[in-house]
Amino acid sequence: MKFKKGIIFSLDGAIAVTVVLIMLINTTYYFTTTSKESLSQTQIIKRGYDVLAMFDYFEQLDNVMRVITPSDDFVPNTTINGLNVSNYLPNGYEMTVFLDDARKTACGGCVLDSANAITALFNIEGLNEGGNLYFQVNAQLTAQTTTNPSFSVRHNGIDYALTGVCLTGACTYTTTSPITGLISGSGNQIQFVRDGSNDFTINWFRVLDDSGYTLSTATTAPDDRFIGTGERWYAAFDSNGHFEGLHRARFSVWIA
Amino acid sequence: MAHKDLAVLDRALDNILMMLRKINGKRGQAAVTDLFVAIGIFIILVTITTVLWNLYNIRLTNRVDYDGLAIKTFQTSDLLLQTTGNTDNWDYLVLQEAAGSNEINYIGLVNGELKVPYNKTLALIQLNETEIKKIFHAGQYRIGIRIRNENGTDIYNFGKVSGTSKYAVNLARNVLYQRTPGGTFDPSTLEVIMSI
Repeated sequence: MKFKKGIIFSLDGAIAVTVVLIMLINTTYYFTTTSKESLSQTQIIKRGYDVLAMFDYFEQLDNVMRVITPSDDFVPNTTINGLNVSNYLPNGYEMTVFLDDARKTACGGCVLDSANAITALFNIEGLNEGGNLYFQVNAQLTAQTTTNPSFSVRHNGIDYALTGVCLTGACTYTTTSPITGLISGSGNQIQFVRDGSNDFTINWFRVLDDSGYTLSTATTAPDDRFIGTGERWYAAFDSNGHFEGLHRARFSVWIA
Repeated sequence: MAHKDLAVLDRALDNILMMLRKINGKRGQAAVTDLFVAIGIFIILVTITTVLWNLYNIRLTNRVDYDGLAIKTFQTSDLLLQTTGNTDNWDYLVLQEAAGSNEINYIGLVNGELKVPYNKTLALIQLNETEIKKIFHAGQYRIGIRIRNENGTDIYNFGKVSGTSKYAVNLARNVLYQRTPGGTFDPSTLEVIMSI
């Protein structure tokens, strides 16, 4: 009986001390962690937005779209015709820029005329997700005979209508509905179908909203610290000065 | 009962009483020891808690002071770099009509995204720090603005940008600064510095 009482008193004391210690440790932890203020994290993000604004003002976002070739896996990070973040970011900061829908497939010699009503099959570059996706194609009207010239895209025997925005001598067409059944990987093929009377030369094409078409600067973001993110939309033109469309630039910024 | 038996019983009772006294003495001793240990632990915990409470109180007060300053700096920086001001021709009013804080609702330094024209920075100097503090309701805080060019050289200073202070918050942003009247807008860094 005496022995049992001793154990109960000891346990009681040990539990009380443990509870107090836990409370003290928790208080210390929260006081310490809250001093890592979120305000300074906001500042990091603001600097990221500033850098994209600078790139846009000096037309570097547009320029880089002109120099990206179908074989590029990364956005160049050179000062001229590239996105060199260190030109604007202070020392100790690091940043990755992602350009959505930046990859494109050149279509050399793609002509739609009376001799070529349907082009050959073209491979679509590797898709990461696939699914139902919009398709974009840039083409130049070489001979116009009707008021609203257009052509269509054919995939798996289904024709998809296009709607275009024309600037500086060429039009960028986008399908009016997503192309269905695009598979992930590189097994998708496409054809272009003439409208019957107008002649076109196709410059390039791409699939929209697949991460396989997103290019980034070759910097890997760390996974063990705060990373701020943001985005900005900008208008881009291709190397021929043809309007490419509106693109989204995203960034991840962190303290190195 | 025989006299002999009574003597044996008496001895037995004496023995029991002695044992009970021994037991009572040990229990009392244990209770007192327990009390002292408890008081000791309590005093230690109270001391630790008081010391920590003091420490956290100081830290909390500092934190509140610093956060207040940081929030005010963010608000000021956002107004300066995301708005043209109200009225948006406040720089003209200051430079041409000697307007003061009573005629200006708030100040913005940009014309277009992150573009800081020469006239607005000139008007800022003409207004002086006291007027700017009134406009931003900055109270006891000091305000400073510094612009550096791409090489990091100071090209514009306004208000308190250096010196000793209890706390200072410096928010740097990328801007396009027109250094000369009618000149080009060049990439620069604008720092909004507030101190206490």
